[in-house]
Amino acid sequence: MYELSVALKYLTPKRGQLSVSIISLISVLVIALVVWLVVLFFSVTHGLEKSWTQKLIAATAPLRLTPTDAYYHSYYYLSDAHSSASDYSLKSLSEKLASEHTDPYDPLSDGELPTTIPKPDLNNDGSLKDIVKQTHTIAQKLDTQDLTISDFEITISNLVIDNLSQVLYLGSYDSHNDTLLQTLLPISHEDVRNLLINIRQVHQLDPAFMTYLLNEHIIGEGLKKPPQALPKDFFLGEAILLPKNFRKAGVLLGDKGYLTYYAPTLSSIQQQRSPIYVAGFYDPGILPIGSKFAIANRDLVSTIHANHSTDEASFSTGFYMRFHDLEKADDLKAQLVKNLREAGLDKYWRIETYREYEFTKDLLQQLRSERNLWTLLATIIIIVACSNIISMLIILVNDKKIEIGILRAMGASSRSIAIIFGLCGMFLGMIGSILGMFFAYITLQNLQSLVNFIGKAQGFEMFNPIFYGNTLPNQISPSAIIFVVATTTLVSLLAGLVPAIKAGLLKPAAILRSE
Amino acid sequence: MKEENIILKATRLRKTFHSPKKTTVLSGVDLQVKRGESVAITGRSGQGKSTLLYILGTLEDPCSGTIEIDGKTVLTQNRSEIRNQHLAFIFQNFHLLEDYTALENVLMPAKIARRNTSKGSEAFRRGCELLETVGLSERLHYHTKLLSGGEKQRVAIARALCNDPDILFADEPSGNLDKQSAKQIHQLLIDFSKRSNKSVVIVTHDPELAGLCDTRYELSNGSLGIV
Repeated sequence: MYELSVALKYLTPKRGQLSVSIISLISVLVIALVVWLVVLFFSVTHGLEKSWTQKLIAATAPLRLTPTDAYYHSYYYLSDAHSSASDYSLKSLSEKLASEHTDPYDPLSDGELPTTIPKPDLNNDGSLKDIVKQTHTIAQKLDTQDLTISDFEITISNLVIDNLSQVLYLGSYDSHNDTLLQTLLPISHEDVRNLLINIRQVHQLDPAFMTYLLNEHIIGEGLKKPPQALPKDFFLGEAILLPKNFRKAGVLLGDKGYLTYYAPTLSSIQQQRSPIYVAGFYDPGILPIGSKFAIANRDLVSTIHANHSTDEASFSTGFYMRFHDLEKADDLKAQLVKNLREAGLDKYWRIETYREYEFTKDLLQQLRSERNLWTLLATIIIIVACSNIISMLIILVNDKKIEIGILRAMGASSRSIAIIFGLCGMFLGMIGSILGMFFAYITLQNLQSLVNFIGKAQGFEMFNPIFYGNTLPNQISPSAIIFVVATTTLVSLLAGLVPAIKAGLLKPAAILRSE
Repeated sequence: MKEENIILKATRLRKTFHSPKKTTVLSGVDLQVKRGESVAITGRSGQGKSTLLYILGTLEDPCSGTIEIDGKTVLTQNRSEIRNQHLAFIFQNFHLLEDYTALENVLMPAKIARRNTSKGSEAFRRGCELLETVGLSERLHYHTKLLSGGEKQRVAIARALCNDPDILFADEPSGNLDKQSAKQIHQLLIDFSKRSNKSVVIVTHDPELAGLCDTRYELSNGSLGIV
């Protein structure tokens, strides 16, 4: 393709074409500057969104199923309270999942059902729909390889550690949740010393065995695999993971305390206490309730939860569905809704992706809106930067008029001439993009030093660690690269179009005769 | 004249310029050029010789009239292809591509024809041979701006012959050269015509060059007459 070699020749700087060379250089530098800015911004915001989403997922899951009012008012749910086979008590989702009987009510041995209980929802074969088990089976069959499903419970309790007393949301620990590992905070020397003192106080053990025991009590950064359950110590109590703000409040690893809740007894409602110790800290990110969201073993959460009314908060129990590719969340939700509808179970469940959770929806939508706004702004900035190419190419066309005439005389078509100048525009855009991306890469590699320097210069931190974490993301975003390369190439090609058409329409005879 | 022997046929060519004032330079010119024929067009300055040459060479549109080259009528759609495959030009100002070497200049028509011009290819070999024929075998890789006027015109001739054209149009080919260089150029053009049975149409003021051609026309008051 000779057009390519001619275009490259035209773009090679020459002493005789100083004006074209200077304008080309300015065009390339302006594009590089814009690309640098866009890639930098998108990489950081993309990284932040990823990190925020990851932290959000660590405390929840990409997809969540929570029972609706229809579930809590169904025969399936309410019949347990009237059946001796269920000890006349309502069951949690995990109990329903483990239950042998779909319909525990026996009209012969149990008392008559109240008239307020709705009619049973039956399958085509006349059997009672097992809402939980059938849903669980349908969810397991979804088309994704790394899917895990676990039921969760969230309850409210009061945490007391020394003089600190704080009402907490308490979520159940899930051993399938490997995302949680990435949000665990490192263990400090002070933490270790505090835990050793506490272990020694309760166990009176020799130092060698204590070191071994110490490792069994820590949930911190660097853990390779989530343990089956959080550690439990006969003397120290149940382990809990606290959000990082507790550490700032002076709580240390190994601190002992208790969770209080109220449980009905035969005579009255009495306060109960469950001993706990702090086994680790995690970063809840931007989760609005994150600063009050602790994680404990399921048994402990269930025990406390059982003493609250189950329909107090709709998100207090349900199924978490975990998978690594978050992009699949919407697809999987659509599949699940369809399959549950076909089975007649969709009315019993509210299905939400992580983007739809009440407490994060607004924040994530705002982040997306800002990104879309920035994409629009970036496109406009790139268009303005690439418009320089038009003036540069018009000068180039005037400079190369004779050559255009000569090439036309040799049989080059006007289309070929247009392609030559179109390619010139495209190359300028590409060179600018490559330079900009290179500068962005270098900047990202040294981003933290730059941020620290600006922070030092202005006297306060440039980015609040509560929102942005201790370090800003410094990975170049592939989507930013794709956006920038596609936009600059397209816009510079379009910018080259006007001069290219002008060049293509030049009359060879007029050019050659004028010389 | 047998039709199959005619390589160029121009019929009733008219050309009028409207700016700065209305001037008719061609008023119904007919011309036929046979294969292997060398034609000289002479005339006073401003009579429209170069305009006629550009029109015959498809570089400019006539106001009316038709041109057939090798039996094909020249249309807007096929003009570039006809120019690349059948025609070649030599200009008074040489019109070489300044940023290219002599060999690169010679190979450009082959590149435009999408032929392989890499080292060892047929087009490459022909390019080298042509430069050798015009006596520039030692200047293959010289940038054209480093060559003398005579050498530049010889590169232009080699370039014109690269795609083995049927007709070579020359507009005052020796107008910018000294006597000795001019003589060499005249000889090369006439030799090309005789040896390879190709046609040459030359616009010139030079009676010596016009005398070397098979047919000589004079353009006067928009009409072409045999001298």
